[in-house]
Amino acid sequence: MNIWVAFGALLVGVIVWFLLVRRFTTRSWEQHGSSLHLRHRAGDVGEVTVPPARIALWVFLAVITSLFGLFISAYFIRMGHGHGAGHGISDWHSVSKPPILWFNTAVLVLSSAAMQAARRAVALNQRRRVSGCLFAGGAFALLFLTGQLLAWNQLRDSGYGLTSGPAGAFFYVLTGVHGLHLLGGLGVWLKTVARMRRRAAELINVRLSIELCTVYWHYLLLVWLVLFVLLLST
Amino acid sequence: MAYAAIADRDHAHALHEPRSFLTKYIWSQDHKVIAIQYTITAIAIGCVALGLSVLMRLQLGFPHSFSLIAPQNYYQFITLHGMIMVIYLLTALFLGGFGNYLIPLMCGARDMVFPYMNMVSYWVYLLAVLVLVAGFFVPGGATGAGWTLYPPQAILSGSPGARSGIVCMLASLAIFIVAFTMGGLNYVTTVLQARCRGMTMMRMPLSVWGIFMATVLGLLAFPALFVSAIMMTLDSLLGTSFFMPAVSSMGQPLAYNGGSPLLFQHLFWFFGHPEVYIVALPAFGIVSDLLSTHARRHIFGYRMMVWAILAIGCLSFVVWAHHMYVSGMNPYFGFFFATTTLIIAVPTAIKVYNWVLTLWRGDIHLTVPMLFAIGFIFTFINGGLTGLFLGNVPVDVPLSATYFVVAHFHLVMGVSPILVVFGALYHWYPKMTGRMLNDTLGRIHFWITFIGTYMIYLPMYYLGILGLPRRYYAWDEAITFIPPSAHTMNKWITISALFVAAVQLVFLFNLVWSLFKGKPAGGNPWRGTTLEWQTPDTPPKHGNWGEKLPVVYRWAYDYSVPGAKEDFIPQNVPPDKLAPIGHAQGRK
Repeated sequence: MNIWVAFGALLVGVIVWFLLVRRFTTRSWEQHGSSLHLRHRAGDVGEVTVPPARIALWVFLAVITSLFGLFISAYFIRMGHGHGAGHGISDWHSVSKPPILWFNTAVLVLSSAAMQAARRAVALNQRRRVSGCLFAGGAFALLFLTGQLLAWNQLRDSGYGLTSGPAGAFFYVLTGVHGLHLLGGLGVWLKTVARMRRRAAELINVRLSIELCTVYWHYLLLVWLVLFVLLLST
Repeated sequence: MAYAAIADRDHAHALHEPRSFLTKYIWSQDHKVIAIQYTITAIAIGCVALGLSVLMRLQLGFPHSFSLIAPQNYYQFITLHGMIMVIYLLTALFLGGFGNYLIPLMCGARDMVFPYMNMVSYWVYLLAVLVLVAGFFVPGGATGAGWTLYPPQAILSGSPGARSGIVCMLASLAIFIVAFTMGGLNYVTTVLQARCRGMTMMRMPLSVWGIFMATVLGLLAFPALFVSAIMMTLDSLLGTSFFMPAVSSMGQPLAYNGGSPLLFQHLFWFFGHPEVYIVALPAFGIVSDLLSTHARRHIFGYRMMVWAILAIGCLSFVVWAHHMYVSGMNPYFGFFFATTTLIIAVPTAIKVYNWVLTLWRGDIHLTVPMLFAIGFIFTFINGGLTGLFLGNVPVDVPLSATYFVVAHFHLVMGVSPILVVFGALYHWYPKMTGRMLNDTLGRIHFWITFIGTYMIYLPMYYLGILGLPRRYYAWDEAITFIPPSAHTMNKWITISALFVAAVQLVFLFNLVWSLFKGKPAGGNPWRGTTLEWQTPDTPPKHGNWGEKLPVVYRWAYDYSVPGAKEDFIPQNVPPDKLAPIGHAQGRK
């Protein structure tokens, strides 16, 4: 596995190199360009092509990736711990996964799909559809969170409390942290819905919010799918 | 799309013109006010950490003389001193303070791109500081687990503050990370999106480069601390066993089972090593600008400096386990991490050479900021070279528990960045307040701090080689391998430390006194080229640039250009304004 990680890192490195190398070979001290020159140069920083909020969201997604990546590596390290620590037996016992998780996953997929539909409806300028889909997206997300709480209950009732063992504890932590991120997204969703409900609101005013919510929703769906596969397979 | 700088779009909406005292100075969304709020808070909590270090030194130099310093207090002081200095002072000051102040001004923006989030970031940071301080007052006192908070001892009843203190610490760290993430998203997005016209990435001053890269490191590394803080809090409060092995406390077996303390160390240092560079990279960037400005010479090897910052940033993620050579991890790891550790010396050395070569044949003005910048080069080389010793496993193993390590990391990531902080404050204080800091007091501050630093830490190297163990409350006479001279040397270190601590009061006095009585500075007292010196008002008003944003035509280091009328050409001077000397621009 390590060799693949190294290979992947190398590949990413090469791509980044190609992306950056042109910019970094600029001889900044030799370019005393005129304003005319500035106006016509491609990639001039004055050109606003990407809204700052979108950049910030992508940077934030990188932060979340780091967070969940670290949780997952901690998961694996903790799972492997014990084999080599003297007594040779790991204390890791898988927990029985509550079947409701499948239902929750389907709900989260629907939520993401509804958000995507809202985003499409914005592009098509269908105001009523935007409201409907946006509302559905948030409602499904709330349903997902409720389902996750039920899953916690079921797990506790089947004897796997927080202190029952590392697998159970990780289950609560991973689902909890994921749920909190979705909850944060719902905060932004609520703000967007509130803005939609204002009479004077034009679709153009919520366009960016809906787009960013959709990207965030898809991303959290992806994170959940990774976590779900991880939980099911271990 | 037509040209429209972000700060100029939707102008009235974006800027939130302050209307009352409260919105101007307290709930301000102006990056400059937020920067000053960050700076004052960081310096205030830093004074607490300085006080704690004085108490520790009193105990070490004159053991058993101060009844108020019990062993458990000593460990609380160690813990809080380390954590405050690294995170709540240096990280907050460099990124929250200088990052906030310099990024929009140096990039030619009117403000950060998300001013409201910027304000929230500061208030959440303040909350983190308050929760941290609250740790002193909860039952059992602050945590005494050492700044690395290693389990299992961090939450076992033998350690001070093992119940509430540690929870305060972990909660405070988690809150800090939330604050930092809000600020960090702002800094990165502002640098990427809100630069003024003509300010390409490769025309940015190195200060902005350093702060930018440090922010990226922070955004990716702080989650590791967040993860470990959450899991340790659960271990401590709810009895999970993420990090806690089967263990007995006071003769009683506890309910923990099977956790991995080593996992915590991996997570902690996966954050902890990039943290060194989160503190160091802004210092590298800022010191480059100080040296260039005060030596009236362009920075040597600008592109190489940028590459080095990027290379150090990337490499800093693959060296973390060099803090763990003695942790009992797989010994084969040591080989890998020693190699990466030594590789990181290459870009670092490039930077040091470039600083020295910037000075070479420069018109060096030994102003106070310049003194601190040169002091930084000395101290950083000194601390950095001993890092080469400790980066090698066979040398590190005998030295890692001794004062050699204490001297190393204090010089390389404590004193070096703090010298840059001082230099930077002397350098930019005139822009922040419109008045110069007092020069004589500044020189007294520099020389006592600089010489005092060496009187403190050089003997510590010697004590470390002698084998004097660190983390000890007192070295009993019964430890026979410690000669009496070591105890004398400890007295010497303590007395030096008292002088250095006292002279910081002179600095604080200078900060306050100069605010009212300092010499008026004018807009550009150091004759700098970068944009922050070209603002229409000093201190810059809300929105920074008046009616029109600046346009940048050149890099940040046009000092002593042959044939030019003045020995500096600001970044926003258009080429046609230089017509009489136009022939001289084709130099190099």
